[in-house]
Amino acid sequence: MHNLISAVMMLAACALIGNAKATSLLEHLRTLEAIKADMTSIKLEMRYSADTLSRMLPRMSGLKLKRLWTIVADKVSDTPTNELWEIIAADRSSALDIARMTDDDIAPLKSFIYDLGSSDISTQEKKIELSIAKAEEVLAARKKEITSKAKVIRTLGLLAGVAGAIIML
Amino acid sequence: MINDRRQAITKLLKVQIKSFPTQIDIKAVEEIRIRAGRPVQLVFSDTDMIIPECVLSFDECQRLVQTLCENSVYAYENELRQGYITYCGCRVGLVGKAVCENGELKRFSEISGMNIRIASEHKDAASKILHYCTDGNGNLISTLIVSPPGAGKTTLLRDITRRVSDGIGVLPKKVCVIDERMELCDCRHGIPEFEIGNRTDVLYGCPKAKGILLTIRTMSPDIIITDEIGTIGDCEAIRDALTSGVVVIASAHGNDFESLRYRAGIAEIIKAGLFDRYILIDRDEKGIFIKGIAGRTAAEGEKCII
Repeated sequence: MHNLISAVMMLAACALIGNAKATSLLEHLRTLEAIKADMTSIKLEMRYSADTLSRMLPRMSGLKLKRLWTIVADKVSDTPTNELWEIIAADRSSALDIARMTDDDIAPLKSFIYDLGSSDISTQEKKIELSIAKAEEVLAARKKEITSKAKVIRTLGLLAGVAGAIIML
Repeated sequence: MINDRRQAITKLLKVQIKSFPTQIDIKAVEEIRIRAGRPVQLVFSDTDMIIPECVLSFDECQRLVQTLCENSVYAYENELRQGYITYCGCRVGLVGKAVCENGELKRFSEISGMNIRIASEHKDAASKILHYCTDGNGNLISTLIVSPPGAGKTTLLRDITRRVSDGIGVLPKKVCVIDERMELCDCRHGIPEFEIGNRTDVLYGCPKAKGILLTIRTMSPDIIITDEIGTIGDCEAIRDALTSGVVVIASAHGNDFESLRYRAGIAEIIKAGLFDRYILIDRDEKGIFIKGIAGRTAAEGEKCII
């Protein structure tokens, strides 16, 4: 009886660990999607409101990377956007939305912020569209990779659980 | 308020310009003229001062303009197309390499200089002049204030707005201000930074011609006040306002009444005798003074000095 309970617990634990790891990978994917969604929202809001970044960003309740845009809104009036990235990068180690992203993953976001607010609206929109296109490429490449990794990890977790359960029994 | 404005500009310049002298007291400064590669010039009412140690590089000029735009250049596109930015209610005129399309300025690709005009609020500016904007029975009449640049038209109009709105020296009236360049009222988040009275509505950032017609239809103003009319579109809108029963108090550039005849739209208004009064002002070390007054009967702009 004890062995049966231990085996079930082993199976459940391994499956949960596998699932947690897979979820964390998928979270990475959701952050990439959020980067793209936020860029698109900001582009539309710029055209619609024609307001400065410091006033526009706090009003946008639908932005997903809240902490990052809060930093941008607080600092942008006094700090050129090409220097803003240094501030964001320095804050990256804390509980920032993009803390665990690789440099390649956040390259589109970096170029987006770098060009933010530096030109008239039509040039700005074109630059944003370029950043969005780059973000879509990164998202497409990572989606395949992450989705298959997540499946493998879940499966491995389950198999490890089954193996452990058999050993227990 | 005036000190806040000066302090904001001084703080900005001290942060952005490494060589900007910290000991300079800019209380009396009216303009700060910055030219890439050349010393900064401070302009006072009767003199100026060159600061040889304070020279901005070209890159510093571009960066200063970015900061004046709060690093959101796209939000200032309309103003930049007209060659200026408004910062803390102060007009910053820009010069440099213009990029034009179909003969219209589209943007600047390089900004090589700027003129920061420090806005001032003088609550007594219109105390002696407002009387001449009335018919003698306390009723306001449509008035055109004429002066050369820098003589204080905007300061005067600001005080007229406040007095008319709050009923100081005249019966209180509903005032609509068409503040195209956002200098007259310096509205931030909808709230004017200058005192312009409790019965004043402000339409800011909108071209005067459209703004005047819009407010006549929607805001039922008694008085419309606007600064620096000049284009034919402005004058046509003012003609509509004047013929709609709304009193208009406006300003225009000019050295004398004669010069108004050579300005296409204004000449038509003068010929039609639509303004009841024309007041020519100028400024000396004591302040704004009236140089001349002409009435509707002097529709050709004949000077009548009081």
